[in-house]
Amino acid sequence: MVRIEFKLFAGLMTYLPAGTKGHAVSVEVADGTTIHEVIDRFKVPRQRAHLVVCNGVIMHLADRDRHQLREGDVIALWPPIAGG
Amino acid sequence: MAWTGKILRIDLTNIACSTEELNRQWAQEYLGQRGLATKYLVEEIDAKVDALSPENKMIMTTAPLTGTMASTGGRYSVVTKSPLTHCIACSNSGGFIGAELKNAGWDMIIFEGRAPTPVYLYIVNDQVELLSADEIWGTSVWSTDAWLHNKHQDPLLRIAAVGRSAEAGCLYAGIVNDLHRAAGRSGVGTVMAAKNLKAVAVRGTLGVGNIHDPARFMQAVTAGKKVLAEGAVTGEGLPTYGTQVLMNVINEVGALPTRNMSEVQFEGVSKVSGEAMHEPRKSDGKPNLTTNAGCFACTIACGRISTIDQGHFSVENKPEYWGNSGGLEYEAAWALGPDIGVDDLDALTYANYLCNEDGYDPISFGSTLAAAMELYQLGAITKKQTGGVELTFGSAEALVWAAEITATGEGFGKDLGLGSKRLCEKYGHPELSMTVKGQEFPAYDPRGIQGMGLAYATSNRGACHLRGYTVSSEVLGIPEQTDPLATENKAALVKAFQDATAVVDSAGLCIFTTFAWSLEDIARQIDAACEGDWSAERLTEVGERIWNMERDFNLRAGMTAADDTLPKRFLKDAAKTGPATGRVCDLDQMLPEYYQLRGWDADGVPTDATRQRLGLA
Repeated sequence: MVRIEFKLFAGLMTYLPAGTKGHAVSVEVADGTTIHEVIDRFKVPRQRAHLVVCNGVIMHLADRDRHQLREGDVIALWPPIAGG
Repeated sequence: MAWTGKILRIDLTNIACSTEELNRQWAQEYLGQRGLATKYLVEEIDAKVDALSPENKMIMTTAPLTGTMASTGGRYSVVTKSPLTHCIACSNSGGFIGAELKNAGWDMIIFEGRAPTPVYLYIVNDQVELLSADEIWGTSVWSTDAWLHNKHQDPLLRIAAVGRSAEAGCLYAGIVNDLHRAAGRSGVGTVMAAKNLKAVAVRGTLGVGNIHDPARFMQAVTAGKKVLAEGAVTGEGLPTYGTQVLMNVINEVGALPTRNMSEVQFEGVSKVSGEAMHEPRKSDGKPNLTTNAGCFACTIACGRISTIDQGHFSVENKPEYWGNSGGLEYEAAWALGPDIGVDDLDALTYANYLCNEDGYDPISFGSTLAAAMELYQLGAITKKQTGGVELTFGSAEALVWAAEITATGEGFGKDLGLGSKRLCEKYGHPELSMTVKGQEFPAYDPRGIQGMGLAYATSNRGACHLRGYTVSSEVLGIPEQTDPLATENKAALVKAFQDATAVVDSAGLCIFTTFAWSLEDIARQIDAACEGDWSAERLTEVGERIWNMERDFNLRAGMTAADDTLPKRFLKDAAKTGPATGRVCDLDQMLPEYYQLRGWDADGVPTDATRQRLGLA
């Protein structure tokens, strides 16, 4: 098992467990778990996870199936957003 | 058509107004607004002119789609020579006055000279008068707005004005219209005040009816609105969260400049983010954000309307600041927050109100204050200059104090009004100024987003995100994702963004439409509205022509390739946290390729072949 931090922002915050303070929860996942699998675990619809960042690095769709989570990874998700 | 074909020329020195025909040939080459008004400016003034002298001119300009039913078609721009950068200035604003000016029958207003005493311009369609502004000189934008509405007894009068900061000579003063929107950057308000012009008040009832092919235009506009409504970002993301939602994103990817851009992540980010604006306050249970808001004809509506906690120290016993007003956008929130290390959302909101009330650019103000705080940290500025105020990073009290004195130019506010470059030079540390060509940076660190480094270095108005917003691609994945830490292919990316933005700014539309619209979507609307065949390819060429025309003006004004650079902090000091750890901005890996793609020589000068290709010879 590895412990990771899972962060949800903007409209995705409703998928955080009830009572969560702030944006992040700390969770344990099995070795080899992918980003998509942890997104599914929190019942975030995959198409709503528009921007996915792992340790600050942007994860493309393929990366979300390929990258296996490691101890201390920080995953952050946003719905479609922009600014400037 | 879509242009009204009429230009209003205001000779302020002689208090005289005249009408002239629009140059149709130029309209075909430069479209409108940013492009067309810049063409007028570069033909009419010497590029070396003192920006604050009567010899400089200032153009308020609309575009073919301004005032039409095209979504976001309410934009106008102010074009002049900048007193902050000595380069071309073009500041773009939304709200309603742009559409009102077009509905009054004018494509643009060219202001020249300097009025002998303060005046304002009053326009009701083709009735145009210069009237005394003696009673409102020395008052804020908001007071001026109220005074003009009361005097003319017309609630639908649209007003753009300068505040006390501009009158005091703050070099980054803007022109605020409709209370909360602003042509904010590069000191266009300083130029207006130097002309003794306090305000422009417009009422237009003529409509914008001269559309080339009305039926096809309606079809194109309806199709365009559908694309925006169905676009995830324009239909949902921007209206719901506004631009401020970027705060956490940019921090997470390690590109949120912090404490005068010395760091790339801010520990207090969650307290000043877009999400924080939705959280109920402990005092009254209400969130900072009241609602979103839209400009004329906009179907996105990203604007923020906010309130401040009435018990907050900044507004204690000041009921005039307890109501709803223009809230924080991302760039302003960054400059008033992370860049000075402050995480007090109410203090940021109050400072933002003051920027609107007295018309000064929150980006340049916050960035200048950040430099002042670093100078204070070094001991180069002391309590002697601040009158006893502790100018420390993280101090909300210092922010509120600084915003109040910059609004009026009192005491140390005069120094803050110099902008970061001149302030740092005055206090002996020019290396602490986070500027390009004299203009302060916005909210993206070029070590974490490499393409932005090239965009900043080559921007025609100095450090600016709105001259080539590669963040869209490098972070947000629009239109396609590129690696923010890579330098390969960034020269082409920056050029493409710069040219496309130049033409969108010349159409009368908001750049935010491009989060969903392609240039083809825009071309269909322009082609239906205007004479001539307007394709995406032609629009791109117009954008490139505009970019090179602006570049030529800057070169004639005295700028050289040596100015296409970044502060040493970004080139020498590596990022210490986040994914860009150990990286500087590798500008030297991108700039030569950029010059080559632009068709410029090694000195950054457009070659004869480039000029001929673009019709600039």
